[in-house]
Amino acid sequence: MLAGGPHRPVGKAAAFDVATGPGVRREAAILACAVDTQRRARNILAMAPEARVDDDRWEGASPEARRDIEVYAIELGRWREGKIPDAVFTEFRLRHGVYGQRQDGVQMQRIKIPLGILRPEQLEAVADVAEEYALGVAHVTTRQDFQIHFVDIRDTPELHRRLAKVGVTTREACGNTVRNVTGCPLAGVCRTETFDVTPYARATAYFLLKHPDAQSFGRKFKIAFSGCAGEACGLALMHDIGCVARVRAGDGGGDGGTRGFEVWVGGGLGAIPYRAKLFSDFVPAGELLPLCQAIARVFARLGEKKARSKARMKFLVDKLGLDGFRALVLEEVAKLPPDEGWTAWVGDADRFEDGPLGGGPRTPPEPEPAGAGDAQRFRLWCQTSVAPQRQPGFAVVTVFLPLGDISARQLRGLADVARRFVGDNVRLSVTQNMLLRWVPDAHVAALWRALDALGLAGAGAHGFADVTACPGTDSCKLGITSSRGLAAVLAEDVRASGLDRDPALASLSVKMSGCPNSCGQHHIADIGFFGSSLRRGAAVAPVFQLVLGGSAAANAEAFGLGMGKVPAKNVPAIVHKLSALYLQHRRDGERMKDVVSRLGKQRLKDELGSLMELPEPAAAPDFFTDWRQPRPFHLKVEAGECAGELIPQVEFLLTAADRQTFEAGLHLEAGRLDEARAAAFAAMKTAADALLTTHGLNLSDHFDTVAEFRPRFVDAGLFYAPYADYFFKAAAATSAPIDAEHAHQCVEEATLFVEEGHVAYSRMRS
Amino acid sequence: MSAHAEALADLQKIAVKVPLSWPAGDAPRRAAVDAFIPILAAWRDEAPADYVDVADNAHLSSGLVVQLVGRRFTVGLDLDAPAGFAYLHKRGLEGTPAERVRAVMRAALTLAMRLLRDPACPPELAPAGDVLWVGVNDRVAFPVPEAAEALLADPFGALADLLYGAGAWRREREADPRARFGWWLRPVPPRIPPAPLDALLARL
Repeated sequence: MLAGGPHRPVGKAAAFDVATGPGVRREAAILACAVDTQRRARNILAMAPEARVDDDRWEGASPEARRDIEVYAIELGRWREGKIPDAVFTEFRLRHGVYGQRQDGVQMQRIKIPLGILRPEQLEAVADVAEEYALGVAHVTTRQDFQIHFVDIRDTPELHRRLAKVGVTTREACGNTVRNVTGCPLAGVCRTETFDVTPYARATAYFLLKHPDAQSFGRKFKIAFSGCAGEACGLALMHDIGCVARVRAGDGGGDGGTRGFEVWVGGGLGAIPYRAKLFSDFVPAGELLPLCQAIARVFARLGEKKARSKARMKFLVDKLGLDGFRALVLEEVAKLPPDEGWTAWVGDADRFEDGPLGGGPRTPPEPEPAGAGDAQRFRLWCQTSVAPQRQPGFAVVTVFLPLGDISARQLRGLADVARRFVGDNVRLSVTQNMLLRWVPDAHVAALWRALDALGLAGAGAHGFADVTACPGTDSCKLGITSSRGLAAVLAEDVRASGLDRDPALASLSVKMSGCPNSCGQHHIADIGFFGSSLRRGAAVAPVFQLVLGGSAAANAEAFGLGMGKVPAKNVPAIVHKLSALYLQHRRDGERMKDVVSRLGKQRLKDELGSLMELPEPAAAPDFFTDWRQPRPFHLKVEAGECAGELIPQVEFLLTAADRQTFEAGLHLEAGRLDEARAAAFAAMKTAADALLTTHGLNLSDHFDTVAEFRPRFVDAGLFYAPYADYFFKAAAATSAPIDAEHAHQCVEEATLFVEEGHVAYSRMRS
Repeated sequence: MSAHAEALADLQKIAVKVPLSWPAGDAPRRAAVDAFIPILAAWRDEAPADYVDVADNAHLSSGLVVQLVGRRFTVGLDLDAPAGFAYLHKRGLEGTPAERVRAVMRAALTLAMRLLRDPACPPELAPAGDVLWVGVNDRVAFPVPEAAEALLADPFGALADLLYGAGAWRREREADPRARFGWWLRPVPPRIPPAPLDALLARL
């Protein structure tokens, strides 16, 4: 008796007994289920307002985006009715960027912004959804995404629609997918870059978005691009795939040689950081996408699927060795069926290049501020926020966002500023700030005044007080300590004490995470911290592990060294002490990592002395509360959703097949007969593909599916042959017009086929 | 029923702002913001079924910098000028549009008074003049300011009549058409001194 077993999706006809074999009883039960499916369709649309589609709300959204969101809304409705298991829906919603928070009943919505490139109307759309569905605050992440918090999941379909109208997606922002492709925000205007990586990074992002070969990873997958090897902006060496621009001369590639990339693989931070390994010192740009696709296939096939803590690609590269991994990838490249998408964009790369606002800024140049206070603020701001571009006469301006946050009103104001000064040239940075590019030098003062009016002209970007922090216990289920609380206090302390204005200290970086998982990138900071706890009798104190001597330079060249735990309440004092030690011991040109390396761990611990000790609760009760938290500290760590629970691809696809059957019924009901037939066929193909994934096959062409499914499942007696014939017949059918009766039969056949898919899978698992 | 009329019939996302006087200078201002965190945390702990958590964005100079996020409504301190106590309703309202608007204003004034009377609330904070804002936090249901004005004039006007007397008030809208639709309400003629919040509440 398999029905109702642990692997059986909720909401299936749970009453029939597969032990009776194919027969009247079983068929009747499945048909009853089919009827139920149609009834469910009507009920869900009636009961779940988020599933209603109002056509006038789709203006501007691409058909594909619209389709994605319709599917999301339907699945959300089915989950709310208990028709989809929680774990399956969790991975599904993660793939739409909807992430569970530490607080019950609310979600974080991640908004994917490839390379952080934004247009003014997109800033306004993010402002609107942040204001209406979240806290009125948008948070820029270290992957150039936006996040908004405390979202009610019932609001998410409408939220997605509003973003889609301006070309913004949330697809694959979370989950076991290719996450946002990041790149240097200075690409195209940088003075040290080899060439502008923007078009190549964008092509990679959109090529892999929803790509069939990137749907069955055991863990998330991150790609970054950098225009040069020496700077920090791209952080290419801490990614699953890191691409660093190179030009090879004498290769027939024109005056400048052939554009391509150094490709690094198997890097990543996390609890244990891995530096990426050099896969190839030159991959021509036109060969980059098939290489990425092949790497994705190898990772999907051989990456760890059970133990999440070992499932990132860095572990696979480590296990196989670089040479072994490379051999498998090259073998895969040779097997890939040609895809026009690999190179179609290469010739058009130039069209992605940006430039100054056509016609120049919509506002006249202004003189620099003259009053003592304003002049001083302007000068400090210029020092940290304004840098000359490669193009003479233009500057790139960094808008400093404290903790990466910006209010809805500021976002709208920034959209206005962008329209007046730079047009579409706005980018988010991996340092959680925003960049305005192509600002004419003569307009810098006017821009400063416009930003100042919005409260966005703070100095200190990229400086000592520009502290990077993950969300920590503010919202993350994995958080141990309040990294944002500490970051806010520390940034204020560094500013108030003037440390950030000391030229020798100004470029020191401080980064912190609320747990060991490194979302705050503490491993690559001069001074890094990650959250932990320490018990003293009945009391528990928030503490941070101190990590010293990392470096983001040269694409994340060095990871820091753990120094031991320090009480959270002593962190500001420790930062002061470390600053003093650095000033005292640094030699010409030495950076923090050099001083740390020279002094050594024991010497530094000795210097920090009692600051590292946690006092007894009775002597210092304040040490047992966290920064900016009104309650005593308590340890509460839940399972994270960083990559979702690992749902076998077969279960994920079978659930998708259920949905397609459901949609086929909706089309039938609405008289859209051709669509009903197409959806019914798609459901059967998806179910067949689902079963084929258990044989390690990920197929996209339905002829391949038929060719593989017949011998492996039907001939092998694993799938009831009469139902399989429905699929084979449909695969061979023409697209001639269909009448209502035949469309109805198609939907019924699809229902039976998909149900048999579930049964076959249950049988395989028993 | 048109989409707009349907939206009005199910009006939920009503928002209110009670402007507050504010201490001068960055440090006192920051201290005042920080004082709200333990107050709102205590409200959360008193009614955990109603509230989700306190959100601390006090490092920002704009927007809702401290909020108590609730299941049916959220309250917080909004620094966008004029700074004040904000109440944002989300769901669960019943009755006619006018009844809903009135219920939200009543709840907002009640909680604003509770906040100002808390012993931990900085004494400098007080209602700033005889002005209130009422609006809708919903650009999907009310996408066009003119349409929103036509739909909401009756319930908002009824609220203003209750607060200030029939016709004895004036309204202003935000200059930025992208802002949420709403009215700033002021009595005509201005009252000196302004009516206290409990007096306004008593009229509802």
